[in-house]
Amino acid sequence: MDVTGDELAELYRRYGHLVLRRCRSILRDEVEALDVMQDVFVRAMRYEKSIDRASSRLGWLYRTAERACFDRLRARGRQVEVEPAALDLVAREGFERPDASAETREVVLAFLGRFDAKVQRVAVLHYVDGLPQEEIAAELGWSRRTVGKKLALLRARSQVLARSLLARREGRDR
Amino acid sequence: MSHPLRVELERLSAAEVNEAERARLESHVEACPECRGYLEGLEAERRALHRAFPPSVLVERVEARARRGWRPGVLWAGVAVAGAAVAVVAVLLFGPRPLPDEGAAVDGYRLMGSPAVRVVLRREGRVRDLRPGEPLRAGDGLRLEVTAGDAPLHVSLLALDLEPRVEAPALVLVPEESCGLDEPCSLEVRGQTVLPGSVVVDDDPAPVCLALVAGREAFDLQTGAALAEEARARGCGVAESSRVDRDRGSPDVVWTLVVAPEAP
Repeated sequence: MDVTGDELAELYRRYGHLVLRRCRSILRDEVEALDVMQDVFVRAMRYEKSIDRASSRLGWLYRTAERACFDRLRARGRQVEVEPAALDLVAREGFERPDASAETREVVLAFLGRFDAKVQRVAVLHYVDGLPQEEIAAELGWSRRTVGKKLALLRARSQVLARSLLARREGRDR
Repeated sequence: MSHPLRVELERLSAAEVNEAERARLESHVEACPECRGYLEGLEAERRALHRAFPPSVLVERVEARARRGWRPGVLWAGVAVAGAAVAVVAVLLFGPRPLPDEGAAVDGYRLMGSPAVRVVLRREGRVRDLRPGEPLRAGDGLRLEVTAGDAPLHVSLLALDLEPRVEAPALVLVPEESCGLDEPCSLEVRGQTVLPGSVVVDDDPAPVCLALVAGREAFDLQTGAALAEEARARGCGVAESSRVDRDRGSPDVVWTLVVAPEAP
């Protein structure tokens, strides 16, 4: 590791708030987001050559942050925290409402740990970055149809999981 | 007014834009209260973060973490233990290459009494068996026929990313609808059964590993996913041995296949 403290500090000054914001959006937990942000900068030190070769340092840091966040989401396992009103809405009505509403975003991100990397990537671009399908397709080099299929799968599975979680909560409340 | 993408404003915030982009974005931001608000919000977050967590503290902590070494990611730890409660299974492993002769159907590995898998290919409206090592094209549809052997079998079909090598979880393709949080996540098949749904090869060049997990009793999502993860780690589609082991106490991966479109 040849990165000096000054270089690391400069990287953090420029990108730290953006990396933290990304982690916060995905994890929805301030303490965990701060922890993952530090992991991302550890990786930036460790993979200095890789980040230097990247066409965009911000892009490299975002990809790394997302992967680290997805690992955390997986590690949460069955501990899924979803705001009750959002869960209820998506469980009962699915994604009939405007797709990027606060409720659908809340549910999709809560269950994101249960999807593969491609679906996770599409979900972040759509629900965190707010990109339309055409721009996601351009960003990833896929066809719009493929992006649409991944989003459709994400929504269908998220509704199944939302129903399941709602049934579990209702059973517990009885 | 057409707004720039958020990520473009974030690049501006990180001073990661060229002169032309900077001029375009700054001109827009000046005239657009919404984008100006977003950019100002980012700057406020930067100041708040640096107050709460100054660069010198970050450097200290990151260097300390790097010295301690890498913290291993938490995988589906403990899941395999849960799988041990599931009953006897017959195991048959084969990949896309280990077929005895070119042109044979992909069920060539069936052993007496054990499960077998046959892959049916739908291409341009025609349906036939997938040939060994046959390249796949975007738009191809694959359906799996499972022969249960001499007793009912519980199966689950999972998909895992092979590249990039990130620790991503398995995605359940069959049985999708019943895979809630606490329910069993396997489908009971008897005799010769075509699994519901089909896998359509998309135009994403990154390969995906399909893994069929089978057991004599129903198993849950995490058990199936942990087994599929192990199959990916061993090398999807490269296992060429086949065996039947009726004494195993858990389900196992019985079949794997790499799915990726050939280069155009």
